[in-house]
Amino acid sequence: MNVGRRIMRGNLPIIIITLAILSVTVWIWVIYPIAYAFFHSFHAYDITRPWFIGEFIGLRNYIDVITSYYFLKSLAITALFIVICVPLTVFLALGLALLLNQEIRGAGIMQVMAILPWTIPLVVSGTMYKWMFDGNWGVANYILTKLGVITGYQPWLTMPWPTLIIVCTAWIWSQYPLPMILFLARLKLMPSDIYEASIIDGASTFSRFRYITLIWLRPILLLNLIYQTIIALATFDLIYVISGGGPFDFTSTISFFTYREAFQFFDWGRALALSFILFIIGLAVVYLYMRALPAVRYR
Amino acid sequence: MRNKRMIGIVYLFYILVALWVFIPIYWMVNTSLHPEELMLSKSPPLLPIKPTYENFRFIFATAEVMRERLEKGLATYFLPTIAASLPNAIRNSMIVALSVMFINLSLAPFAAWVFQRVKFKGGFAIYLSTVLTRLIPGVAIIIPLFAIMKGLNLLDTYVALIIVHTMITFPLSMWISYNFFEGIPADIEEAAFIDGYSRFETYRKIIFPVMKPAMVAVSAFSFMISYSEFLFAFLLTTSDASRTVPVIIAAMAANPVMPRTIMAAAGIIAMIPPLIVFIILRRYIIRGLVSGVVVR
Repeated sequence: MNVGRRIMRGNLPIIIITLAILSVTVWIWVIYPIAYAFFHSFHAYDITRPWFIGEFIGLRNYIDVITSYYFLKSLAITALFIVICVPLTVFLALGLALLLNQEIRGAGIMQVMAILPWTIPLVVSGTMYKWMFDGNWGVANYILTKLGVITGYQPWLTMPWPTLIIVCTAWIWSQYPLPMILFLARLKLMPSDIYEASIIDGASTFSRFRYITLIWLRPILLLNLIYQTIIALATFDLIYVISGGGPFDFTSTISFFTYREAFQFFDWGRALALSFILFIIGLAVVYLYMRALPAVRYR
Repeated sequence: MRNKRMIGIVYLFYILVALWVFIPIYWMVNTSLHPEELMLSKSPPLLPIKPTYENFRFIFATAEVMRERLEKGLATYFLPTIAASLPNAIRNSMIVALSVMFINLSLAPFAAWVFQRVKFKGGFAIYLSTVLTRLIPGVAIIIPLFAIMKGLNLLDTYVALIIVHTMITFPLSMWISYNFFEGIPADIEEAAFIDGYSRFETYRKIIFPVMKPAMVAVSAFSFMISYSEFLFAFLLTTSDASRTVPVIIAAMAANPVMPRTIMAAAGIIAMIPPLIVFIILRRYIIRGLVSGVVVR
C-alpha cells in the first residue's frame, strides 16, 4: 500500500510529461480541427469576410451537402473504390508475405524489391501511371496494339471505367508494401512447433493455411483492413494527379469533393460539414470492422 | 518431388511480382533518358540504347536551357519552368522529413514506454485513442488545420509542415515502439528501480541502448510518410520557401502540355532520397518490425 503510493508519486511527473508530449504533438492538432469543423459547419460562411463567423444556420450546410448533385454519387464511387481496392491490396499483401516467407534462395532480394513501390512518393507513381496509360503516346497502348488486343490507340483516361481501374491499379501498386511488411513481420514470429505438429498430424497445405497461418495472422489482418480502408477513404493524391476527379466526376470520391468544396467552390461552411461527415464515416468504418471481426484483440 | 514443384511455383510468382513492380519504374527511367520527340513517336524506344541527359539538365539548369532555346528560336512556352524549384524542394523535403523523424525518434519511444511500463488509470485508453487518431481521414481535418495555420501565421513555413507531419506519424511511431517494449521483459527495469534509479535514468541507461530495432523502424516510417505526404504539404505551402517535392511534382503533372520526359526525370530525382534511406535501413526495417510490431 505504502510502497504502491510511493511509486505512484514518483511516476506523476513522468505521466504529466508524457501527456504534455502527446498534447503538443497530436491532440491539439486533432481535437481542435474536429471541434472547429463541427462548430463552423453550423454557421454560414462568407468568402468576402473569412475571419467573420457567420450567423448560426443550423443544419443548412449539412442539408445542402447531402442534397447536392454529387453527394450520393461520390459516396457510391468511394464505396466502389474501397470495395475494389482494399480486399485486393490486403490479400495481395498476404499472398506476397507468404511467398516471401519461404526460406529459399532469392527471398531476401525479393523482399527488398517488393517494398520498393513504398519508397516512391504517391504523386510520382501517379504520374508514372498516367504517362503509361496516356491516350496518344502511352506505352500501354503501344504494347496492347502490338499484341493485337486493341485495334487502335484508346484514350483510356477519358473513359470512366478504365480510369477508375487505372487509379485502382496505381493505388494497389503503391499501397501493398506496408501491409505486406506487417504480415511478414508477424509470419516471422510464428512459433514453428505448432506448424510441425500439424505436419505430423497430416494436415493438408490448405488446412494448415486456413487453421494455423490465418488464425495467427488475424490481428494483423484486421489492422490492415481498417488501415487500408481509411487510407482509401482519404485518397486524394492519386486521384488529383491521375484523373483530377474526371471523367464526368467518375473518380471523384467524397474526400476529393471535400477538397473541391473548400478550394475550388470556396464554400467553407459546406466543406466543413462534409469534413465532419467524412470523420463520422471514418469512425463508423472502424467500428464496423471491430464488430465484424470479434474476438480479435486489436492492440 | 512435390517440394520441387512448389519451389518452382514460388519462383514463378517471384518473377511475376518483380515484373509488376519493375515495369512502371523501368518505363520512367527509360522515358527520362530519351528526348521527347522520340518518346512521342508511334513506336517509342523500349531500351535506352543512346541515352541523353538533357531532361535532367533542364531541371538543374533551367535558366540556361531556356536561354539556349530562345537563342535558337525554339518554343519555350510549354516547358515546365517550375522544375527549377525541384532542387530547392528536395532541400525543403529533407529538412521537414528529417525534423519529423528526429521528433518522432526522441519523443515517441519515450511516450510509448511510459504507457507500456507505468500503469495508471485510463492510461491504456489514452494510448489507444492516440493511436486511433491515425485513422482520421486527412481531408476531414485539413480545412480546419489550414484555417488554424493561417491564424497562427504559419502558412508556407517549415514549422506548419513539421507540426502536421508529426501529428500524422506520431501515433504510428508510438504503436511500433509500444509493441517493441511489450516484447522486452520488465525484470531488469524493476531491478534498476529497486537499485534507486529514477524512471528517467532507467529509460536513458537501460532501455535506450536496447531499442535500436524499434528506432530504425520508427525513423524509416516517419521519414517515408513525411517525405511523400502530399495533401497537407499541397495546401499549407504556397511558395518556394516551403514547397516540398510532391507538391512540385504534382504542379508539373497538372500541366497537360509539358514534356513527359522532363516529368519522368523529375520523378526519378524525387525518388532518390527515400531510396537512399531505404537502402541504408533495409536490413533493419523488417528485423526492427519483427522485434517491434509484435501485435499480440
